[in-house]
Amino acid sequence: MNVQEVLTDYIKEIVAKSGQPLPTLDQPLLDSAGGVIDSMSMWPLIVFVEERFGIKVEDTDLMQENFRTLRALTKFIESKHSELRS
Amino acid sequence: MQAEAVAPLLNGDVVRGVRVRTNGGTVEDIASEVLVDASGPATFFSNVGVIGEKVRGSYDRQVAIFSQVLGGIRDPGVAGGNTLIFYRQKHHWAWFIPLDDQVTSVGVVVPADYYRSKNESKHQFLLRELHQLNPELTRRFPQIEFVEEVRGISNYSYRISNFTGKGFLCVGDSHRFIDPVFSFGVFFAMKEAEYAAASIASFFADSKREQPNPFADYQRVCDRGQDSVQELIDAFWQHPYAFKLLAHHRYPEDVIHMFAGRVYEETPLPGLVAMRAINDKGRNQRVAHECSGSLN
Repeated sequence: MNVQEVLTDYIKEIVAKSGQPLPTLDQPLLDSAGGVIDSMSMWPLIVFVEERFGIKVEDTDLMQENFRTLRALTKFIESKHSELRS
Repeated sequence: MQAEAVAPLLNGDVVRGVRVRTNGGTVEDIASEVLVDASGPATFFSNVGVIGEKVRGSYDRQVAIFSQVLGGIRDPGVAGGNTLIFYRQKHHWAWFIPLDDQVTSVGVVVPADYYRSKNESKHQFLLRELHQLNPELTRRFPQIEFVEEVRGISNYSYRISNFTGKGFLCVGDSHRFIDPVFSFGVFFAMKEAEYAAASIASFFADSKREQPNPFADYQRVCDRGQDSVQELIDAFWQHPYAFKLLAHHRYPEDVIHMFAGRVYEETPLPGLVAMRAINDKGRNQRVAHECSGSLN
């Protein structure tokens, strides 16, 4: 499974509804920095990550830096499960 | 008696009363077995050297400019009495507190540097901020008529250690204030007064008179409550996304309990444990970052 591709497809669905451009790997994801993930879409994203990748997002994983960019989120998910590492 | 406390009366390290100056100008000594500092941000015991000095808190370089306004559009029904917080960005926010059917308390909290940079009177500053800080706040004040003077307070975040001892104790703001964003100041004043009353009653019942500090237990309980709220506020300001996820999804009941005053539990609520863990991780990351920066 390619984590980055799965996340990109998920983000595409969000931007399709909002009309915003798809962020690149290193552009901000969070709306506080101009990204597409706002406070309403943050929790569904976490639920998706847990269910789709079979990992547990611990309380201390909820730090902003894990969700800052698509690259950061990919790296975080891959770190939680050795089989997911590309 | 209308008077001002001037100095404690000491017998060694034991507080035995207080010297006051009456409104008429006379000086009187009042003896006491227990003297309570409930002077709020005036921090009487700290100022006169009975306890330590103020140590700046995490949110000290800020100012609050506030007043009371006639009117203000409230939410319908029972929600009309709700306190509202309007957030522009980190450390730049406003409160909206209905006081009665007619009057609303409003205040704007900003970094001190930002306030100074505007070079405005307090009145001008508050008026402009009410129009600019947040569109929803502006909507609730189509007209602004102040019904009292516009006031300001700065450097309000502090703590003082060792705020109890032989013959004395402190309550509320007289020993610590964290940040006004969740309005815990009045809660701590009242709750600590309740605990202080029980501790003093126990002292008069002769159960702790010979202890080095008969109010040490009271101090521990106060610290536990204030430290819990410190974690709540630190998580809110430093990790807003994580805070929202914990408060709305992972531990909503725990957060409601904490806002309702359940901050003195000997076994902390899981939601508080989570916030503490996030705050600790953030602090450790900042220290690691600073160390790597200093080595480069």
